[in-house]
Amino acid sequence: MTTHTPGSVRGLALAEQARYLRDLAEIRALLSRYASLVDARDPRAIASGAFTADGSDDHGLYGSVFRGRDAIEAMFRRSNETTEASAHFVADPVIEIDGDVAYGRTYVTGWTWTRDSAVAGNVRPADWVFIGIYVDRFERTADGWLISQRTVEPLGPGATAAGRRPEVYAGSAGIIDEKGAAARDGH
Amino acid sequence: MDTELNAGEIHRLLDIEEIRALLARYSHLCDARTDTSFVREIFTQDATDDHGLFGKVFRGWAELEDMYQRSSEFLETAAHFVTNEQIEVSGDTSTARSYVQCWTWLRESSHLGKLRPADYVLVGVYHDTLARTPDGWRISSRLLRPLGTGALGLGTPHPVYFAAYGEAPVGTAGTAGTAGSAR
Repeated sequence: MTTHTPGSVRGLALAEQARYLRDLAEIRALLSRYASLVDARDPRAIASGAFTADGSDDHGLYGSVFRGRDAIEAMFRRSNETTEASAHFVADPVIEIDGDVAYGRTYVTGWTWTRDSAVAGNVRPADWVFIGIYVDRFERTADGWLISQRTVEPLGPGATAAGRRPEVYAGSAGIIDEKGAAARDGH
Repeated sequence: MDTELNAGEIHRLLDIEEIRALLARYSHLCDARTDTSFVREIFTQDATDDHGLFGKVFRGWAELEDMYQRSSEFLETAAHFVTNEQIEVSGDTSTARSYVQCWTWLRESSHLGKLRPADYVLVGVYHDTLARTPDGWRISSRLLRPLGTGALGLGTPHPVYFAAYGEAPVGTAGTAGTAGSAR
């Protein structure tokens, strides 16, 4: 199989082109569904609704890779301890499909309201806007397309679009600390 | 579904998807750029780009590369979020309209560290015309027009934007990192 983009699929049979369009629509919907699930702050629903059974997630926030639905659920449960609410906006998906596997790079801003600032009331601005790129591997499963591997790359100098990175992420070996940013720059 | 779509409809939908992917690829290549050669993957050889920057319309690959080179002198990095695409295809040409919010970090703020917030967010609308070429769809003309009162969504822009989109309204003066003072 070869990896296909909208421009390269034209040489295939018509039914294959139609299948390509349907796959693309489903993968785009998966990216949106992930945002809805995460922002509903239901760890079990995120793990089972967006990831394959052995899917992995390396958000770069906690310094380790979370593999399998139980581990991913635990990661989001841990996130709920410090994050009261979030809003994820995805944009600019670049998706390549290779049969039952696909690859995507998608921009995201994650607006985060921490529990620490709850004293300011519900109508308060976000504490932190994370900005980065989801680098995904997708698989076609009996339950439709799901994420089998997700890593996150920073946008901007250090993945902060606005506000301040919550202290809970300080010192992680992830993508959003000074050390990680310097390593990327080859210092 | 496969049998309900005819060849013409599939062809048109693939055109729209290819153009949508091109708009996204512009963001990825522009934001990750280590040089300006990406313009050859996005624009036709004789394309025009009117970003409202530097007081002129840029025409052709060499001038476009020059425009991005000049902007790199004050921009450390940026992230173009493109949404609200409206794409129409007619034969081998297309018109596309899309919103952009561009999160921007200036070199002059680099002393504030890697974790600093963006200096400003530019908001605007791309008005594009596109052409089908042997290498796929390419932008043949791009016009950036401001959203809001002066294309400034948040923060304090580089002075070049005052020239492009109007005088700074009273009360916008601030320090670098205003976009980040969310609290």
